[in-house]
Amino acid sequence: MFSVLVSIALSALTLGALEPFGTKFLPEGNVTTGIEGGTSATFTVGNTTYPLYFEGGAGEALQQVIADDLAEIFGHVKEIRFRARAVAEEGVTIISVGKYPVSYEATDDDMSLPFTHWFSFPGVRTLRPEALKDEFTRVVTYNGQKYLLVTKDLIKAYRTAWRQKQRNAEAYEKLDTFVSSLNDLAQGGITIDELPRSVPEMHYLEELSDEGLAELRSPQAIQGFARSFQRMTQVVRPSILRVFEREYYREAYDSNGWEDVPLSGKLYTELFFIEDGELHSSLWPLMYVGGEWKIYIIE
Amino acid sequence: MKSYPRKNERFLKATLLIFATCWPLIGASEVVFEARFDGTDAHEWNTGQAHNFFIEPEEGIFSAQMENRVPESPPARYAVVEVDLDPTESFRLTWNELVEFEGFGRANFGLFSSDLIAENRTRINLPQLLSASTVNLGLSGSNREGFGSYDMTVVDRNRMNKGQGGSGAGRDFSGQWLQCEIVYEREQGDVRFIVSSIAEEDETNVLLDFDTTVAGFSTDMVHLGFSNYPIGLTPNQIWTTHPDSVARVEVKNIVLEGSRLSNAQQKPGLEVSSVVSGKESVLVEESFEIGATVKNRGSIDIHADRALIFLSEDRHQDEDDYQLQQTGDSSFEVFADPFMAGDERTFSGVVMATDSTPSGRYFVIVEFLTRAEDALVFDTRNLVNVSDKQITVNNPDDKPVIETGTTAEIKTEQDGSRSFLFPFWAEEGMSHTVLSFGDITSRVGTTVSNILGNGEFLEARFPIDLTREFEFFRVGVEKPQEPTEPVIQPLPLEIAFQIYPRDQHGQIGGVRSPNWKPHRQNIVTRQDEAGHYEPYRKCVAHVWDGSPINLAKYLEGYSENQQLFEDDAFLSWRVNGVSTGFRVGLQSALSEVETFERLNVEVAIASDALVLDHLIITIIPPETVTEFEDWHRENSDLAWLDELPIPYGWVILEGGGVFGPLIEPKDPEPEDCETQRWQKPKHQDDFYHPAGIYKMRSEVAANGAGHQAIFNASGILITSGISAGSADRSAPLSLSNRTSDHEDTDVRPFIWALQIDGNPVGRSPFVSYLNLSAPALFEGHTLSRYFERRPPLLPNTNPLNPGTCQPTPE
Repeated sequence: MFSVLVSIALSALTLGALEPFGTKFLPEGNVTTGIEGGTSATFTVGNTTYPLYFEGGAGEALQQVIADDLAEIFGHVKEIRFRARAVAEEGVTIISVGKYPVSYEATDDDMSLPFTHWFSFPGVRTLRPEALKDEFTRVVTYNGQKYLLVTKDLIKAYRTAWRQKQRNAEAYEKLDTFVSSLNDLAQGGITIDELPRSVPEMHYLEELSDEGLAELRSPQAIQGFARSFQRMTQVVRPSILRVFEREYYREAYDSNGWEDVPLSGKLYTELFFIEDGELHSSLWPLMYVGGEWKIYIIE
Repeated sequence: MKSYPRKNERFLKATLLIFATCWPLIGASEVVFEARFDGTDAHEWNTGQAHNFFIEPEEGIFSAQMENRVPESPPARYAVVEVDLDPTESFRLTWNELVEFEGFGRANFGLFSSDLIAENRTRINLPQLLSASTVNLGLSGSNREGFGSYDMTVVDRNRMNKGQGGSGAGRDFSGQWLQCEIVYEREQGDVRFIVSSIAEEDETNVLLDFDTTVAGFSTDMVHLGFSNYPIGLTPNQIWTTHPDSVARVEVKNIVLEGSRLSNAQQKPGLEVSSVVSGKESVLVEESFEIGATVKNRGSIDIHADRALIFLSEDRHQDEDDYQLQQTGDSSFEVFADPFMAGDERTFSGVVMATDSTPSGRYFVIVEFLTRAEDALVFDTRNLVNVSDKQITVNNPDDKPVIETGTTAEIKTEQDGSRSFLFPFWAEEGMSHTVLSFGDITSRVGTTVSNILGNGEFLEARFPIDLTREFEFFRVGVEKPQEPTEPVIQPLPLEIAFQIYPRDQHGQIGGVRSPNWKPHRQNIVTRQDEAGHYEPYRKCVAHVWDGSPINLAKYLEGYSENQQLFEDDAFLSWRVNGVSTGFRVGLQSALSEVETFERLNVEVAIASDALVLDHLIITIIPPETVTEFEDWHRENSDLAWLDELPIPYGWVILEGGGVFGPLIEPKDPEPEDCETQRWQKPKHQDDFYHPAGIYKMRSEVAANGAGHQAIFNASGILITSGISAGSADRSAPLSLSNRTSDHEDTDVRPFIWALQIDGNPVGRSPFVSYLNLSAPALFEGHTLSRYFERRPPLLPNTNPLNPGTCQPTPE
């Protein structure tokens, strides 16, 4: 870990310099940890609502962004299980299998809140974004109340994701619209003909052959598309932690051999859906191409 | 190399002062390694292109011209110096860089493993087979002013690419001095890149700031410098489609700090590899028993001036023994199970020539890798005799394949691999010419031979009479002196994690339960399972109920030696790099189906920490076992298979040869069949079917099922084992099949089976279920049960011959 001096130096160097020039971001609001009371940033499982504890503090607006996103990610969860933190007994070495050392404690400026429990969602698949893997699994207890811990790194990841969303506001609005229309189709609110765009226009296939295009436009393909969504209970709005803006390579094969085709700078995300209370991922990813979200077909 | 603009150099010095003041330490660890490269160390740098890399000692500037054009002979396009850093611990690398591009020029600077310096065949895309480890910064130009791209490449020891890149407008960082920094914090697993321009006095403008988390780095990531193989690029990468593009780079003020020296620096002479390879020659009777595991992956590249050798053929001695596989357009590889102590095996490969094969001289290049090169002596009874310096062909029976008496010089590569090349004859009309590759014995007093391919010492297990005073002498040469007194008294028994035959699974039983039975790696394919998990070869699953795990129970002889094995004064343990006792508890929330945690367990003699054995424990929640059992029970009705077409027994391959077209599988289903039940064959390369080279998928049946067929390098249908294609209860997504349950009903149970068999693999975190997160290393009982429900072959049917249509239903 860096020394305090280094941390200050790093902060000074990076503050405000992480983002492209000229981008203005929404204010994050008053910084609290969540134990001060009055916060609406909570997490609900079944009929029980748990408050969130934001390690090191987070702006209230950002807290709400995080709470809303966690609600989307774990919306299908029906049960939460708490397991007491492992305590060393004689002759047993406690090891940490995640990124945090055994000695890790949630900390605040004025206090150290030991985490007391783990929590998890048994019996269901959650398909957590990578950023949540080690970051949303602990409970801290304060005045007898269990708080689900949102770690500093998770706050940081959300801040980055939120800013990315603000930089690409139009794309994210269109993502919501796109997912909403798929949801309408899934829930019978609209028919396949009432989608904002035709089914072929909703797809993105690189180097699409005439044969592939014809197949995409075939009545069977369009009906298959409709059926695939009509079976779903809900199309889940992608977490902002799962919208990526990074280089992604697709390998193409042609007469010249294998070639890695860069899709630089494009936004993409994965799409999940709920059926019979289970979360499923058997869908193609979405790619933001030419100002529209499209279903990215990977052969 | 002084033609580039150097902007604001005076401000650079001020910035450097800040850095030097603020960052004296790497985390809480003391800096024990620090190297500043100022150009006076020129003699220590290595390059394959001396005309493109220069050092200006007076100014301390390293200049490089990085060409996109792939040189005719590898390796090239690198300039590195090997450092004594231990990259598994925290480190910081800082440097200043000025780069200019012509076109799509590209330059990478950082720390590399040896696989990125030598020629490599790793790929950048799914399925990924990335470098063993690297952290480097790559900058690229483009053909539009103001446009460029960057890559902050981070490949960890699990070969996961955790980096980030971007391109487009505003990403051209050329023409300005950059302050670059890469910091690795081992404790948090954190890697941070910071790239700043020195724009104004007392001010830096941060261009890139990227944070990522890694599982650690390989010990081999000790090559500092430039490389244009930044991650394992294929020759047809987009940059190499612009071969005339060039990047010109100047780098200075290179500082590398680390919190630990490399192992060799810390404990000279005590590491296994040093002991084995540090002496000139080989084994001597009574010295020690070398229970060596020889990695028998070899590659045999057939080079000819015209298309000749087009195919190879499997010749199994027993199931899963070995496979002969094609690796590219001009080579094939031979794989087999790892050797065990006491193994005796004979290998044979088959080189086939076509009827039209012209007579001529051709060359077979056999590559082999060994870190214990001088501890290997190749058996003289076999086809090719290998000594330290040359190979002599001694093949009286198989003439004219290889001329008797032919010798070849061994060439040692920079990465430690050695290769040799010898000629053989092929005659017109020749076919099925057998090359016998020799046998292996690994017992006291005999030699270890592995004529085929590479022999890499993956382990040197210590014998019953453990001494640290090993001496090695060339066979047939008298020992020059008496051995010294052993430093350590002999151990009473061998310390090793007990492994069990494949058909023995589940709990060990007795006092050793609830621990399950570990197994040894039995998957060896072109996906390089051994390299991925090195030095781990054994694995086991553990169903976690929150109770501590007793690691000693995995040891052979535990029941009889419980007290000794559970004595911390006798054995020491490390789990994921942390010292522990023999009982460990987990700080984890693990309970969601399909999630897992990987424990890397090392056992050592407490008195000297010499690691004796390694074991991967894959921690899984009970839910994974429950889900798999439920799935297996609920899928007992296989009537749905009746609607599937029969797979073809092989696909005919066309093309091939060094200068010929790429090998392509020909569609075995005639076009004039009444209905086309199978899609055309395609190439195949992923961790699900690691030995598969070609694949076919069937039509989607009316009941939604589908069939997958996987073929080996010879185009032969693989009908068993992990690489086999299988019937799918739900055909995967396609343009016309939009209602697939394939992932839930076919793919996830496959992953559960692998995990229950002990494999630390899961769903790839990257774009759906297109690949596993890592290659599997053991296929066991549970995977066999998976195939009971998803068979590769339909019941009571034989595969079809190419050129025939599906039989008409009776």
